[in-house]
Amino acid sequence: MSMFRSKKLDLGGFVNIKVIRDHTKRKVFAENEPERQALRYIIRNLSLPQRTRAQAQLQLAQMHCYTRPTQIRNRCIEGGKGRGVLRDFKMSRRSSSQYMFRMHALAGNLPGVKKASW
Amino acid sequence: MADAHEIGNHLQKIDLSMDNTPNKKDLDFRLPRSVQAVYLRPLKRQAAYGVPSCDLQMRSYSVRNLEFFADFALRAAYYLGLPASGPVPLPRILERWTVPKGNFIHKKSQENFERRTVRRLIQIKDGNPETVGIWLAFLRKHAYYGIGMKANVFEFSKLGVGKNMDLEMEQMKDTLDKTWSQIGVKKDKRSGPTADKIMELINKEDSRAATHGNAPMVKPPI
Amino acid sequence: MAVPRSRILDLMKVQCRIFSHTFNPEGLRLGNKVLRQRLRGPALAAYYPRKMATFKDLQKAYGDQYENFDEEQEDRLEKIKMIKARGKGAPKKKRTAAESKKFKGKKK
Repeated sequence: MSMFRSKKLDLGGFVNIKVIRDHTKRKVFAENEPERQALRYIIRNLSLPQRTRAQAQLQLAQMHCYTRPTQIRNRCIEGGKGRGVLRDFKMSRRSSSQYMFRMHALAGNLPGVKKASW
Repeated sequence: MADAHEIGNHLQKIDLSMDNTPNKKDLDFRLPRSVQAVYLRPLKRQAAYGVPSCDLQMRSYSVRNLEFFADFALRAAYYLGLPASGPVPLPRILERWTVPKGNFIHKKSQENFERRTVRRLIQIKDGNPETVGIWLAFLRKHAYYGIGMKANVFEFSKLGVGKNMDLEMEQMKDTLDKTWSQIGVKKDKRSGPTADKIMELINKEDSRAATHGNAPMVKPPI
Repeated sequence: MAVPRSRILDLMKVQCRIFSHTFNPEGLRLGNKVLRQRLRGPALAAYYPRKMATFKDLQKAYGDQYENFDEEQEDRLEKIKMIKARGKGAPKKKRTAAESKKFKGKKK
């Protein structure tokens, strides 16, 4: 959603609209996390009156979808791919005929990563 | 004094090996003890109380660098008077990834990659917090390539730590401001007795000759 | 020697007050699990590499106080000046539609 997006591009690496969108979601989630956690606490607290909890549930459900952590997806920082991303390197195993992780590993750009055989 | 004795014994061994060299007389001198110690395993001090004051974990992908640097750290600790124990070889971390070789289907031809992280732990016991700080700073100054360091420092202090920290911050302010005032060239301060003097020195005939006759320096326009 | 439940509850209450625990004799779910969780927003938001500060940003922030010299920019300006002097510079920006017409007159 464009209202959340920063007015000036604040990303330094590979950029496409999917990456920008995901980055925006991350920032919005980080901003709203305390509020979400507070609502979650109220919902889970059985000692509070039922009405309060139901209200909290509604409020949580009505928050913007960008504030949800489930909207966040790890994307490749080298090619913006959303699938097959290795968490350790934030890099996809491949990206449209470029095998990001494999290429970098074989080129020796990833410290300590070697071809294994056991 | 047992340590010195050992060094002496070792020196004799070194001398024996030197007997075979042709110009024996030239080499027949005793190296300083500290230099002799370099040929031996690092010396260690005994901890009187055994209260841990710092845990230093070092990680690397290559054992050789790590061993070398752990040795260096132990020697540094000895000469700073810190009782150190270690290096304890901690279990190495083995990570493996398997990815398809190609970029499309062909799941049957894959490739394996791995990363082995080796770790060493050095524990300092009964260390004065200040000395431990110096030791850590020294290690960081002479940091070796490809080695990551992580230190847990334990300190014991009286109650009211937060208040003391606030006080210290207040005292630090003067020093900090002094340092900040030295950063960069302020526009309103570029003409002054010091700046003029420096300009004069730089533009002197001999100093220009020493820097291969550069053109005289002028002040940039505002 | 059966101790009445109320006395045990009192004891628990005092115990909880002293050790600052939560007094919860019925074992209700109080949602404290949520409070114990750490906030993961900052870690998640730091995933992508952010834009680094450029020289222009620095100039904008400190340019009016400190001396600065952007070598690349100065080089560029100098080069443009030399090109212009030889008459090989970029053409002027066309402001109106009539000016921007590539071929004037002939076509009808």
